Amino acid sequence: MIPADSRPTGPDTRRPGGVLVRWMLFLAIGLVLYGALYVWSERLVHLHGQANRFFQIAGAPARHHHNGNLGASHAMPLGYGDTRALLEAESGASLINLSVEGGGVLPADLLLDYYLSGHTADRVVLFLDSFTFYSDQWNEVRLADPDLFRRAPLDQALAAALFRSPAARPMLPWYLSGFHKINNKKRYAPDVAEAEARFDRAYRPNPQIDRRRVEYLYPGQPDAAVLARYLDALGGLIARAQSAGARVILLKPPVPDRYRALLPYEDAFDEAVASFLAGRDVEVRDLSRAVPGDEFYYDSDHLNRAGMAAFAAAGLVAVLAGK
Amino acid sequence: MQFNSFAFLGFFAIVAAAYYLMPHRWRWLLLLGVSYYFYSSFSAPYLLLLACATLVAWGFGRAVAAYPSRLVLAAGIVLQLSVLVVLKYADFLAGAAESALGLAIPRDPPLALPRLDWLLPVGLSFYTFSCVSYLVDVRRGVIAAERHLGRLALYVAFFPKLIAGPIERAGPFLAQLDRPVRFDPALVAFGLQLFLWGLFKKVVIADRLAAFVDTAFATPAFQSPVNLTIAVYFYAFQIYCDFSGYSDMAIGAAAVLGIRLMENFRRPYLARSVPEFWSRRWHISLMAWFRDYLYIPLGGSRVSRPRWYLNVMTVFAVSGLWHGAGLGFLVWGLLNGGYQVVYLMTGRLRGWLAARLPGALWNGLAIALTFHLVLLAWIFFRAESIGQAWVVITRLWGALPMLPQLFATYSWPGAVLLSIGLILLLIAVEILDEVGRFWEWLDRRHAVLRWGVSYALLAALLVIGEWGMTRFVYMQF
Repeated sequence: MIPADSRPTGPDTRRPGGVLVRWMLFLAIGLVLYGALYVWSERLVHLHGQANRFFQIAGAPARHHHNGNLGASHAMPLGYGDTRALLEAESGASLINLSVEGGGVLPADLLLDYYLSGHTADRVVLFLDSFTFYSDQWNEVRLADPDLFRRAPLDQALAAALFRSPAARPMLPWYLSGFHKINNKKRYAPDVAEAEARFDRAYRPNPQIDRRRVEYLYPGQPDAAVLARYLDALGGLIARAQSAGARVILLKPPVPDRYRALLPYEDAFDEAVASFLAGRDVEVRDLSRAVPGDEFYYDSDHLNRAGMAAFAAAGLVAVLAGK
Repeated sequence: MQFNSFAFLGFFAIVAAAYYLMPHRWRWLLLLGVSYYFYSSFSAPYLLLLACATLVAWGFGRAVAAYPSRLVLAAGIVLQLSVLVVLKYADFLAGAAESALGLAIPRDPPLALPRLDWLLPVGLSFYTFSCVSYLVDVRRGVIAAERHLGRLALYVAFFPKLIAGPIERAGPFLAQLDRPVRFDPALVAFGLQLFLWGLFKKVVIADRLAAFVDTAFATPAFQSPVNLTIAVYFYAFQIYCDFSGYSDMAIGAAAVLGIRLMENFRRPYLARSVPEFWSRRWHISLMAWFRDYLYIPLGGSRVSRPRWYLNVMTVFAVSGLWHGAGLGFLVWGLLNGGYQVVYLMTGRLRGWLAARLPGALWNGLAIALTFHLVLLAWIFFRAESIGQAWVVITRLWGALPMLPQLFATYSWPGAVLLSIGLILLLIAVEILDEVGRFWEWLDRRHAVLRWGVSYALLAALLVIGEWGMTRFVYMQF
């Protein structure tokens, strides 16, 4: 190791073969040490992993679920606290919640592909959020987010799923190298969604926060080509689920009336989805108006504990029960 | 394609392999091609500016050699600098003119002068200064005008130094292109190790500190005095590790290709005076440029005392504005210039004190004072505005008597402790290197120790590195 103001003592006169051997030895020891870091990081994933969806799939004790649930953050409260257990008890059907924050149809499709490689489900319930169909932020960009894979255990089936997904394929070398696991700053932190801590709160409406939230979810102008691309991806997801023998249900999750009024393209989106689904054996349940009050949300648009109870009674339990 | 990205590491590995497989006479072409490709990864349209700057330097270099008049040289320099001035300062000057005119002639609505609103091309200040130094050196007869346009283009665009220096001189660089480079394992290992150390400083230290500093400087009025104090100290090490890390990576990458670039940093926070800091330790290539192409032409120190001080202040004012079009940079430059003038005016007092204090104590005090003077100036460099810098200073000044008490009750988050630990490690290495040439000592030790240090740096990069593709601070200049 030499600083910039130093000079090597002179040209290296040792035999080139000897130099090559030393460099190869340095590389070999480095690879062994990297392997040790990899094993240590993988072990930490298994020790502290909990909410990461890939981890949940790999560690799911049951090979079959009645409901496999996909979607973005509006579906995440299904996994908060004891909600999943309550829903399973009320519906009499098992549930695995594979929703991810900011996860559009492409991340959902990757999760479903991985899930179906080792599991089966009677129903695939996709929470349909229009914002995820209008921006790559919630699809390709989200798939490139290292946080998604920091606690994904090493699994040949996941590597294969990543390879099969053109949008997720760039992450395959990162996943196989384990870099994001080794470099995980939160390696010892509990693997829980930050929002779960707010699950029991009630939101006090703030127009500025609502507006910012909608601007964040719908960046840029609507683009018909983008919408068509993600509808195509939705078609692929539906086909994947149906070919595995699952019934597909698209569920529009509840949002407060105040918030829904701010959504920019909701009617056009509903029309586009209805038109796209014509002829496909897919059921759509619109429960977006089922829980209108602000007191049922812990922030501008996510259900709190009371909201989840209201949502369950308003139709979610029926969906999960296959009715 | 930042140095601290995996894309660059892959790019560089391919370039280095191709370089050594290629015959010497074609290597300049390879390096020129990959340098332009590298630059295009930041801003492809601005490749044109880079090419134009090169053409102007080449054409005027030939002209200056043929007709060595000051007029030809001045024309070449004005052409080079005009692009820099327009792109970097036009909007700043328009804003200043609006303010001045608004005060002189109030009107409603206020006067609004047109703006360019162009993004500043990365590395513009650096390669413009390279071109200017080339023209002046040709005029002075230090080097012959380069006939080969491609070789001169490579001098201007050589990718390791293109974005943020060092501001290499044409003479030593072009001379190296003449010598066939043979694969020298010692030099390649030196380059890789230097690159690794630079990467460690950037990814493990600088970018870790950046997160804390950015938060504190975003809302200084709402920060606790302890947070603000920590942020100010952290910034001094962030900018050092960021910029010296870049320089180390640039020099290291060039060394792998068998090309030596000039040293840019030499343990700056161990300087015993502000003049020593600037002349021999911090951004050496820039300050050497200012010395050779501005300070000495102004008369340097061979003039009357007042004129000498004025020359010093002029150099530092220009240096401040070179860093950025903003009053904060100007104040930063003037403050550093002021330190130098005060230093020059207090020679007797310093001599008197040095004679009466033990050497170690005097050196320690001098290093601490120099560091804190530089630290104070960095506040103006980092703050978004003069007003914000003033908020930081007044809040720190106001809380000064309470700071020991506040620090005693501070919660010390783990991330802050880790950052402090890394800074202490850096300081320890620099002190060891200052007193005992640590790195050269280490280089003579057994492979177990040498390799162990390399593996430790690599492990730190992997385990605690901040790989968020943060830009280098000096790229914006």
